[in-house]
Amino acid sequence: MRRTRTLIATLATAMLTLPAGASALVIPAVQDDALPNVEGAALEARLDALAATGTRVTRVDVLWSQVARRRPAKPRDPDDPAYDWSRYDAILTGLRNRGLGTIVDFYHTPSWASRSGQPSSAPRTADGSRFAAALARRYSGGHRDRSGALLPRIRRIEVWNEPNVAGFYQPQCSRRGRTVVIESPRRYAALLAASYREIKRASPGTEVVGGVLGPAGQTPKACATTGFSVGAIEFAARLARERPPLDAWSMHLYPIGSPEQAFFVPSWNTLSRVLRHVDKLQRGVPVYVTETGYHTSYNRFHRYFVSEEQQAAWLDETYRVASRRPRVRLAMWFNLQDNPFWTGGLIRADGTHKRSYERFRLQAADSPLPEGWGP
Amino acid sequence: MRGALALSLALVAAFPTLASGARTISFPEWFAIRADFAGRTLVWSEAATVRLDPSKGGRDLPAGLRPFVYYRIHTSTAPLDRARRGFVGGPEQHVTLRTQIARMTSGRVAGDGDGRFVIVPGARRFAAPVVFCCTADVETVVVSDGREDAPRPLSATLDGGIVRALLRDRAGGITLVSADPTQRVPELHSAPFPGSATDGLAGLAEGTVAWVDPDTPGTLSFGVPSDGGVVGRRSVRLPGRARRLWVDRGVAVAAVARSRRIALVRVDLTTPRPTIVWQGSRLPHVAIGEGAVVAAEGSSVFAARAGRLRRITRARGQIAAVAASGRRIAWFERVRRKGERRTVVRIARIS
Repeated sequence: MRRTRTLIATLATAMLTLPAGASALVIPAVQDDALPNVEGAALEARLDALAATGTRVTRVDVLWSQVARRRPAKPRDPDDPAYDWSRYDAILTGLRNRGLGTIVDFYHTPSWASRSGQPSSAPRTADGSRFAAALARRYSGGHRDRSGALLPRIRRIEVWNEPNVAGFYQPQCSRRGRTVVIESPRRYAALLAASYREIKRASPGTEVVGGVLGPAGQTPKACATTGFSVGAIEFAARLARERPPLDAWSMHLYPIGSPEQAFFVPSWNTLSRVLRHVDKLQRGVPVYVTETGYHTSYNRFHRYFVSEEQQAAWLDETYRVASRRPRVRLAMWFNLQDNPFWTGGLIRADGTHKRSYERFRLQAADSPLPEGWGP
Repeated sequence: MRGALALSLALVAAFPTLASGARTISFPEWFAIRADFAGRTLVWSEAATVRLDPSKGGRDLPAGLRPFVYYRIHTSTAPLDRARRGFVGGPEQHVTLRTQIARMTSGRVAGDGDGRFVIVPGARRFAAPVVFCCTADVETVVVSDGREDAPRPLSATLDGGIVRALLRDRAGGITLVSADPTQRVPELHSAPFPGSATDGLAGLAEGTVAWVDPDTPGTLSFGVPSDGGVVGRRSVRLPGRARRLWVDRGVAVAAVARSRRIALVRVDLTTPRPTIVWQGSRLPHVAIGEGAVVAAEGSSVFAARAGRLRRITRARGQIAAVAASGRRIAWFERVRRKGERRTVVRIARIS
């Protein structure tokens, strides 16, 4: 009898917390990573194409090296003459004009801030976090450009992109004798903590998103300068020990297998293993999957590919699976359009639509935008 | 990529540098394999079906997960000593492809004299990519098309540093495409192809293209591939219907059906006069390279640089693949050691 009562109570709780529709809680979104590479009419055309998918939210990669080709004298001041925001002013204004909310990430270290000269070099904490301050201040919703026009507001900033992957953040590791020392979580924790302070000071209402982890499972036992990634669970565990503050957690999922079936780390079925450590930073913090998808032909950055039919079916399944995880608020399909190095788009390189395009449109149409996500 | 790197590091650890050139190397499992020499390396592709079982994935996984499979191709190389008499290192993995569309076979691997190679996985249900390896350890994807009606690659090769491939569209039309694989994004040059062919009956090699038109299955056509198309086209009659075709520079070998048996017919394209060099009951594994032809049926390996193939060895296990390059041949032998499946790679000299 007691067991029956418990079961009824559990079912009632589940009915209250589970979404009524497949995508009632999770926001379907799509990113177009080509936006920072185009200007003028080409940018407007891409923004129109992005809006035509029905997405209400998107993500923009702010390439620090493009904005700050030389060292600014006042790095926290977005109006420092060393900064050139023109590209991002145009993108973010274009998105606002089309009613799209935006989450931005920043990475790509300029040469003056890079220890190795490479854009993947982890920056000095002070340099990186002061750029975060300038970014947050410029797009706080109260800042005007030189012509006096009010610039858009960004509500969420991701600190870096895939700091557990050598291609974006180095060094990941070092050797002391025969011992491999994992470096990146500690360095990233310092960057995240300092960026959090700076962003909150510049724009208190902006949400600071940490993690942004790339899809790495096991950490290799040998320290290689290229191709080394710290596994998502290990990175989260090590980051948790450093206790940086954050408002939300994000990570990237590219499962091998369908969203329902895949069980490698990281995947939808193993998300809780990572979040167990994230909860030590801040219990119950919301989760944004800011990249996910399936590739429809082989490319060297993603060696697992599926058919266009599978991609379309698994796009639907992605949002169905995501909606069953109440902490997941956003699942961003990456990318809008194929290019020679990334074939996970909704649109082929020649501009024709894959089957997944219409599936995404239906998902987006079915999902009202929650409070706090608009432009 | 990361998984491949980790595995290659593990393999390197398992095969420390072999100073004097070992005659054999081995690796776990039995795979469908295609192999070729590429300068002072042996290169091969392994096709496998990988079964993932969630019961081995940890206790905290949601209930109801079922096992599933994906299909994988690994390409590996093993370095040879200066004289190509033996191996001076263990296998190192390079290009890895994974898909859940449908099964892949080991397809075609073609090496050049500088240690570079091009691979085309075999795939019936989708258009496989054409991948070049490598420029400064970075591969180049030359052709990769996910459309359901995308042209299917029949063959590919390296021809003076240029990747050439034959692509067959759904209507049966064939295009010869060429690209410089050292470009970051290779630009494909397409040229018309003077005929028709199906999978297994068209081959490209340096300076040579040969094919058997399905409408004339007893005729071998050949010529020289170029950016503009096929030049110097000629034909020769074969002593039977062609079942498979292998092509190297200036040489083609066709497997033809002859009164319920299979005959291997060698055609030196400069002459060109067909010569039956081997006969057997089944389609053998065949490789040709720098004038040498090697074939394997069951556990027997046959080879010759000219004329009839002679038995080189009777191996302990079944032969999974062969490779040839002038006086050097290699074969991949399936054995069991302490109950475990292993593949042993042996290298030998032929006169």
